[in-house]
Amino acid sequence: MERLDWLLHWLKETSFATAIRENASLFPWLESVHVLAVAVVIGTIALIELRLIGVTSLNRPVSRVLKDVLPVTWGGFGLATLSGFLLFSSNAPTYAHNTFFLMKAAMLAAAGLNAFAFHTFTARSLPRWDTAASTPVQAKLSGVLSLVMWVGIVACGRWVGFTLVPTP
Amino acid sequence: MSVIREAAPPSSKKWQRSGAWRGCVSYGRHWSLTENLKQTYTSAEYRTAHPGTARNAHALLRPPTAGGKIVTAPEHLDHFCEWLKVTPLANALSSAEWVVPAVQTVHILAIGAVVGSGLILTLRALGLIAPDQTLATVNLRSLRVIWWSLPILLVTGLLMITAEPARSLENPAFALKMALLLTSIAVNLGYQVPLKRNPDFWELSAGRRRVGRLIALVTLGLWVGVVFSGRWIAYVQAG
Repeated sequence: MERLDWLLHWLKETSFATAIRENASLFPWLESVHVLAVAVVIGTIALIELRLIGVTSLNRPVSRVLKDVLPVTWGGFGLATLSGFLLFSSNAPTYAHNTFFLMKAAMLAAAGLNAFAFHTFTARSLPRWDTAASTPVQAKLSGVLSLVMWVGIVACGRWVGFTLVPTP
Repeated sequence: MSVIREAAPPSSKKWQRSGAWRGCVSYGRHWSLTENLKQTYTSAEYRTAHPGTARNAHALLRPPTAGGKIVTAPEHLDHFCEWLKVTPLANALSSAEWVVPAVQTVHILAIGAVVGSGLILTLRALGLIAPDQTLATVNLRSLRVIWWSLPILLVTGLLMITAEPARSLENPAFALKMALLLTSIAVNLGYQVPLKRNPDFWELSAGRRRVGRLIALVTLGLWVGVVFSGRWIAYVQAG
């Protein structure tokens, strides 16, 4: 635990973290990029999950939707992670002690596990139901879980901005 | 008409009202039950208690406009904000701490729908994805998502304004956001109206295809501007 605190403080004192913390407009610029990237992730991942649940794009193969949309989602996710890490670094100990930040991180991990489980297990049978409008229950479950997680991630992200307590 | 005047040193009330305060560490407007959160600081007390500890305390302590000047709103707008702030709806919205972040969450989700669908439409118009789908199909689907998101954005936006009128109505970042939004809607209509007569309108010639791509890119750019100026509302000092 002590080592983690040391690491968080070290991160906060790095030159880029200090610059983000001390410059009046770097933080809002990065936060704008972060919100935009998160918007791309949620707006595109919803297209995938709604196909998996069986609500939209039913006339298209699941694999086709994945091929078109997933790279865009990953692009948004990469940008969100980078901007999010930079925002976090500017006051790492404070964020690490925020309950909503920790919830957000936990939900991100859960969303990651869910995606991993889909691609390794559920998608194995994809050729059998690729073009079917009705998807198997595991695929539906995976889609619902992902949507719930991502709505939760956005909500927790917003709550972080209202609940920060500076830690020494 | 905005009037520029010398800024008085910020009173604690002003700091709490200003977006910069809200976007940062929200002393006095908070969620958790830790003891020190229950205190309300004046900016001077805050500075002494936490030198440089808040994530952007410097943004708090330095008004965004140079030379200690801030832009003040015209008087009738001030009156309107004061009136709106004490209406029953505004009281209800600001009485519970969870309302504003919850409404903001829905607002961001709807923004996600617009930006996600807009990006997919643009990528298809550029010929980068979904070759199995005609542009007409993608247009129809994406534009429907965008139009259905707008009423959600309007309602959640109005709720946020009602909860804290001066935070947005007297804020130049909010004015910029509205200007970009209206431009984007106008450009969007310019793209969509010809499609009513002919769904392939933007594909009939190489010239039209170029114009269609340009319009898609411009609309997307305008939405990026809407997102950015929207986030800046929390940092540009209002009133």
